Amino acid sequence: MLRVASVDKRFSAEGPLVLDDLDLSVGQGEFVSLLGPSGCGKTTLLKIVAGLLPPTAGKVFLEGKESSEPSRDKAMVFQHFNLLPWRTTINNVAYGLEVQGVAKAERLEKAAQFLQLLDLEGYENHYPSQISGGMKQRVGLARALATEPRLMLMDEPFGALDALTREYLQDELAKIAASQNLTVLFVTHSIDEAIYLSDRIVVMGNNPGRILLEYPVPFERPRTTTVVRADPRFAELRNQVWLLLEEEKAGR
Amino acid sequence: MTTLSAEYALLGRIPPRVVRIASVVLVLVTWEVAGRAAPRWASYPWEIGAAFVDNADRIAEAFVETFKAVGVGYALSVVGGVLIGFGMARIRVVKVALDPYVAVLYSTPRITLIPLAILLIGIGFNLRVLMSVLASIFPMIINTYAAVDSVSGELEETARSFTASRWSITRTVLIPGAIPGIFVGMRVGIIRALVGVIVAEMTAGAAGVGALLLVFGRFFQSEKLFGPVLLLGLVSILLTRGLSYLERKLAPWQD
Ligand SMILES: Nc1ncnc2c1ncn2[C@@H]1O[C@H](COP(=O)(O)OP(=O)(O)OP(=O)(O)O)[C@@H](O)[C@H]1O
Ligand SMILES: [Mg+2]
Repeated sequence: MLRVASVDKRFSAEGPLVLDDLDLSVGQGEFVSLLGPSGCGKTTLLKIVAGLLPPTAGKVFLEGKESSEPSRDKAMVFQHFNLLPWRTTINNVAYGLEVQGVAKAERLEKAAQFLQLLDLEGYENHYPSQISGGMKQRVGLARALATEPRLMLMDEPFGALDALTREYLQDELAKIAASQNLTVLFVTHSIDEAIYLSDRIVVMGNNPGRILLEYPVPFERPRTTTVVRADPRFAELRNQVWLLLEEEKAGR
Repeated sequence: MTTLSAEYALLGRIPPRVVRIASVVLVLVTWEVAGRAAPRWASYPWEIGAAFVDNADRIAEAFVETFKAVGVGYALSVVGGVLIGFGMARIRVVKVALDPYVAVLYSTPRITLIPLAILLIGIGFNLRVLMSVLASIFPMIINTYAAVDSVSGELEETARSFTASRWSITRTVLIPGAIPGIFVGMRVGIIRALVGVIVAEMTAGAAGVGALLLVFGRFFQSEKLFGPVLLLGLVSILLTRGLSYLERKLAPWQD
């Protein structure tokens, strides 16, 4: 469904190679996590896929067609939520639809539907400054989901949240991803989070940013964090990934 | 409970409005008594009030004259400052080209420009407008610039990720993002525009409140000086309050 083909990225002509000949495929309905050390280029890769940054070389294909600009079939969820402070919850959720030219009645109806899906009823008319971090990220998630993208791009969406809220939203996301049959490319720093959520974990290395290894995750979806944590395969996989990341750190 | 918070608790039961009025009355009465006891040294409230009523026509005329210049200068500053601030935040050449002027003019005491300005445009209405523009446009430029610049990164990128066009980025991100900064500039700017005009009137003016104050002062008429000064203060407070009210209406998302 998504194919990243031989993508290189430098931020300037003489600058370091941030991404080196990167290839990645994500299938329809698949949930893939990108895991790697800080600065290895995860955000850069996600922004290239989103069409927010141009690659220096290589191409991005979505369902076989080249996709180098932002488009309606992709939507992004940001680490720092990036809600518009001057919009109420409902108008933030409707924002993507609004810039895509959806008529007012229709976009508000759809926004209300996704507010409900993310348990945000009763907060329609609150501004971002009046809601908690967990709710802000649910708004960010609803805003992306409301545009009904074929591909969801998520850049450490739960990184700024406390552990409990984070776990709660992970379960929430797992449910929604399964029920809406989402295709997701998900960036995270957390091995546990990658295992809870994904079908496949792609581990990246640093300097230059490149893919080291991929791990299939052996659990059926949908699943919950509690069930996964209790499974012995969880500890085993976690250990493998951890060792690979340590090795990569030591190798430099 | 400490003594301090006990005192606050006591004060908490008296409505602030009552405390405020009591404080004003106390000062006025003391002033009146002291002023009558030493009439050569200072004028006292009753006298000041009477002088104000006697000179109401001249004072009104001076205020109209001053606020005409303030109005024109401030309007030019707001419109010009917003446009320049936007331009500097969004167009690199504009920023690079204008930076030195903003930096130099902003840190030059504007009053030192008056002699030069008189040579160039004389001492009429235009001088007063120019001084109010020079006094108030920089806070407009700088605050608009800062606000637009701060939404030009991540929020703009967010809008782009949803396929927003240039115009819809301007409409949904840049303009609402600029509003709080514009209001900061407008609140600082209105006072500065007023000060700019008064300073021009006091140094070079033949008209307006600044000139009137000089006339009253020159003839040792201290009882006449107080009224217009207090009125200026009052008008300034009303103007900034009005702007804050407008901001709450236009930008209700700020807490
Ligand atoms: N706009 C930019 N200009 C120049 N260099 C950049 C830019 N953005 C990122 N980089 C560099 O590219 C590299 C990868 O950055 P990126 O943000 O993609 O890393 P990351 O894997 O997302 O890190 P983190 O986990 O800390 O978010 C870093 O070395 C960073 O300094
Ligand atoms: Mg990142």
